[in-house]
Amino acid sequence: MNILLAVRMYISKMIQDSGPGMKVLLMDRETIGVVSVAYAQSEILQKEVYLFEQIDKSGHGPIMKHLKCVVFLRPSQENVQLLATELKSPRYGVYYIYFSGIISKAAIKVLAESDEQEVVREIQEFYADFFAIGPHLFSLNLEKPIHGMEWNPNSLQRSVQGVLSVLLSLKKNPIIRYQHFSPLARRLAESIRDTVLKESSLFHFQRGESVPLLLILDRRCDPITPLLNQWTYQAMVHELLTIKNNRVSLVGVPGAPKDMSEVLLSAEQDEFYANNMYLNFGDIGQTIKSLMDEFQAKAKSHQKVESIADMKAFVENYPQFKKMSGAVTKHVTLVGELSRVVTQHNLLEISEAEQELSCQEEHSQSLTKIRRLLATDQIRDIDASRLVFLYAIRYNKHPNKDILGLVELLRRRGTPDRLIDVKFFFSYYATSVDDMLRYSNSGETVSSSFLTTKDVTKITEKIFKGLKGVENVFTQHSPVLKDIMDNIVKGRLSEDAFPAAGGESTAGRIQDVIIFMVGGVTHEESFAVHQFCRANTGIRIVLGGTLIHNSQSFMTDVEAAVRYSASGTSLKYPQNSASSGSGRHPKLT
Amino acid sequence: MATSTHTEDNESRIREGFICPICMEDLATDDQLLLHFEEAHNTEEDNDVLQAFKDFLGKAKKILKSDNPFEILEKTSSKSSQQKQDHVEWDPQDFGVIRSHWSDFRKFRSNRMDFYAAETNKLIIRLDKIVSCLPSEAAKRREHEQNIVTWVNDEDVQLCPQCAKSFNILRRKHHCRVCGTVQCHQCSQFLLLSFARKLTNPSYIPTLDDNKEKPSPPKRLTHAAFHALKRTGSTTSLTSLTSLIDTDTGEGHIRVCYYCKQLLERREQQMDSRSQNAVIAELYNEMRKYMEKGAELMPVFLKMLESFSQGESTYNLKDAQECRLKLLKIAEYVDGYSKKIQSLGIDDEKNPTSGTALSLQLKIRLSAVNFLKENLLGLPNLPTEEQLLVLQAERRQAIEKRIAQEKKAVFEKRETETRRQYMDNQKDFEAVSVDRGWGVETSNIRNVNESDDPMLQQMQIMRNYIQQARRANRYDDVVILEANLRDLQIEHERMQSQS
Repeated sequence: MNILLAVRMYISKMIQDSGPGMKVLLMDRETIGVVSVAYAQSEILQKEVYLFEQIDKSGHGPIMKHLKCVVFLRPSQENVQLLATELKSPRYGVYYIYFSGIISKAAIKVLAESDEQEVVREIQEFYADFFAIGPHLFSLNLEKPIHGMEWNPNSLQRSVQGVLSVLLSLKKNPIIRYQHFSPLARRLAESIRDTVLKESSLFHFQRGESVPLLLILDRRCDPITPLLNQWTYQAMVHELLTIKNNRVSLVGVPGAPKDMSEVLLSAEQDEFYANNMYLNFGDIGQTIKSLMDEFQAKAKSHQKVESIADMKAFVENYPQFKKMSGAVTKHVTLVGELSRVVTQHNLLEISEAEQELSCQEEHSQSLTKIRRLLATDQIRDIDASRLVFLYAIRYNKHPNKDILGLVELLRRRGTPDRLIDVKFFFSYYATSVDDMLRYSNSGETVSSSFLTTKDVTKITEKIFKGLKGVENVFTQHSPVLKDIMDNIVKGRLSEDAFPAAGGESTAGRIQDVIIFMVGGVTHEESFAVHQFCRANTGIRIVLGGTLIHNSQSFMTDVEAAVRYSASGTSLKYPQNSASSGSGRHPKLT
Repeated sequence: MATSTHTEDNESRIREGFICPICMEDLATDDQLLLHFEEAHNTEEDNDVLQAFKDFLGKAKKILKSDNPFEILEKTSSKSSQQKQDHVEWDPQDFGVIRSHWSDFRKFRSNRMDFYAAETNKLIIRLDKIVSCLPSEAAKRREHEQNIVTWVNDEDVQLCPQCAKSFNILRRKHHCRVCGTVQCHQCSQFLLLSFARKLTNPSYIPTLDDNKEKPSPPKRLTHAAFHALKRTGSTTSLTSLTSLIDTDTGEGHIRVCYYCKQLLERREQQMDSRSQNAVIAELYNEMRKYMEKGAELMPVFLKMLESFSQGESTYNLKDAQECRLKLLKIAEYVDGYSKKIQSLGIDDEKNPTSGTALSLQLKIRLSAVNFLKENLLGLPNLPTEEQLLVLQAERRQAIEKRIAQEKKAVFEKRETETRRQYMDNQKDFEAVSVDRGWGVETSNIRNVNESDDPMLQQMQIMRNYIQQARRANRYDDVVILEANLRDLQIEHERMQSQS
């Protein structure tokens, strides 16, 4: 159940299959990402792969018959066409072709008939059709998969392919359960099940005494987590600097070394990162400081290293040190930038307010705090509106709520319109609340038309976990996912809230679980899975989603989900677009 | 893999062999011990002990079997760091599902290719006949061509099958010389005779007689010549229907249709790709050969080195030196070849290597440099003859000590009872040495007279420790050990005076 390893095994096999000799790797836009997340370039170089090409850009390269071409593509119509063209006038000596998913016989025929010079030596399906961020975490890098509360058809297809490929790479034929309130989750679950049945020859693994479980969740079951500021290293870097395919761009970061416009953050390559990715920000600072101290002792220098600024100066003054540990330089730069942003935008105070909002029942205290924060210039617009969104979800039914007042404060700050519209965010969330109430884990059915404040508090309490003696004020919140995992391991996952696709029996011991969240997951949840698996050795969990979110990407997703029409364009007006007064859809005449 | 331990009460003693750490039962072999452990101590809290124990046994076995214990240690340590990353224990992972479409692919391809191959072969046989004894006179040539291929009747064709335009005085009918079909001049193509000869006779090499340009590369030549031909052809087509000599290249050509030309060109490309072997590929193959040799030789050399530093005399020093020289030579070759590859063609003034080809060359160099850095640079030096003698002498000493110690062990068994009261002291000494992280092995230090009083034995052991510590430059330990020795001596004197 290590998906990163699964992908690495696939890639290393496809390179080895072609035997010794100079090689070129021909990929498409997505598979380049799949490979680069799993392997560093230097590692691939060792396997005699010297060139990397993107098939839609490769057109006019020189003819080099002495190279072997390893082709790794997604099985799209477009790729098949491009590859057929390539095979008709092959630039390389021999071709070994691997598709990342199921390919039709018709496509095979097209390719076979294009191979007039008989250069193809192998054609196979290798199911590495997802981005393996870590051993237990994958993403499909799908932005805005939901339009107008409906699946974008392309995204649905991509999700089906991605999840299937996870199942195949791990050799699992699971029971598929989904979150009942969500038609999106249900649609995906059923599509996956259909394909599994159709491709039964691929899914012929024997189920042992424990049956694998594929659980499809909807991001709307927990819209809080992606809104919160994060304080573990990996999550924080993603929140403040954005990690894309394990890479962080340092362009525009003041003081970043010139040769570091982009850095790789991979637990496979970088031991420091592997050991510290789940550590708290404070601990990271300590770890780096102790590393620096160690070197300082060696260098017999008595320069003081107290603050992070000192550390940066220290590193710059010791090119020797730079050489010795490029990784540490990288992390000093990253941590330096993180701490700069945190201080500049007052994130500590904001985070405290967020945690209080999400974990405690102190309406007036919270309200005062938010009002005060909204009045400061230091905080960014996005942080300001996140606070208001959190407040709106939390205290929507509170008798003394003042959502409108806060919105007014936002407006006065000059926050861009799209960050002010609480309504759109709330309608995203609200579509789930009623149904969740009906199918809440307790199993009791509540009529949604007679919701009382008490009921709502009950359900929101499920989303906002209470404070339970956590020592760190910034990490009190625990994601809903954790409760779901608890229920899985206790065998108490309600059949009403999480029915099985195809009405399969859900009985049986559970050991291997693959969780996929429609609408994306967060690093906080990944961390929760990591901790959970450490605490429960009998259970193995792999977590994935349409995207790994930070608050920014989450808000973009939500906006698309609520505002766009189902077709993803402005062709159709959403029903309430007139009232939301959005000027982004030009009128059609 | 000595499992030494002591019981809680004061009867501490050292025992060696396969001893259960929980009930102190002595088992003969590791397997029996494991079995005993699983049977007798299979309780909840013992399980993790069992696991740890299994790991330890496995590791110990590996070390015993392996020639190079460091390798194992490295492996296990890297493995444990891996586990540290994951934190979660994963099963050994199966390779994911794969599905091959190769048989389908081949079926589809051969259906199509068989057809092509048969067709192309037919054309080449005809071409061979045409070219082999081609008369230079226009009329005779036509007759010769028609003898080999039946031409389609002119009257049967009203429109050009390619462009569907009607034939007239300006758009005349032309026959493909290898399949006999009719098309217009615009749609017909030409084969250079040199091209045809190359196809019909694979060993054919175009000479300067055949064309004025340089003979290589053949493929570019035919294309260039073909374009030139088409240009001149279009201006003179009306008047010189059977112009045999192209004005640009002075070379003969044959008119063919588009399809035949395609088939023949494809065959030519196949022939090319078979015979083509670029300079870079040759250099690269050489480089890889040396890299492989280096990768093979490196562990051998390291093994020798390890053995020397242990003072063993298994290997000949000369051999090792030779081996080292070989490795250095290999490094030189790899460096040289990769440099050559890197600079391949960049000095070419007309057409310097650029783009993809250049980046290929740079990447190859980069990987060679990485290889050298990791494997061959900073090759450790071998000990000199004198150093070696010293090392060997030390080893001999150590072995002698071990033999003596083994004898002693037999004796000790008998003497255990008498020794017991003194063991507390020895335990202390051991603790001292272990705490200091200084690897005194209790196994090779007992060079003592068997008939001695246990107290004297003890003191002898002490002296051995001290010697060893001196050798290891652990002078701190020497001080402590000497203090212990003095204590022992005082105690000994006291006992003597008592008796």
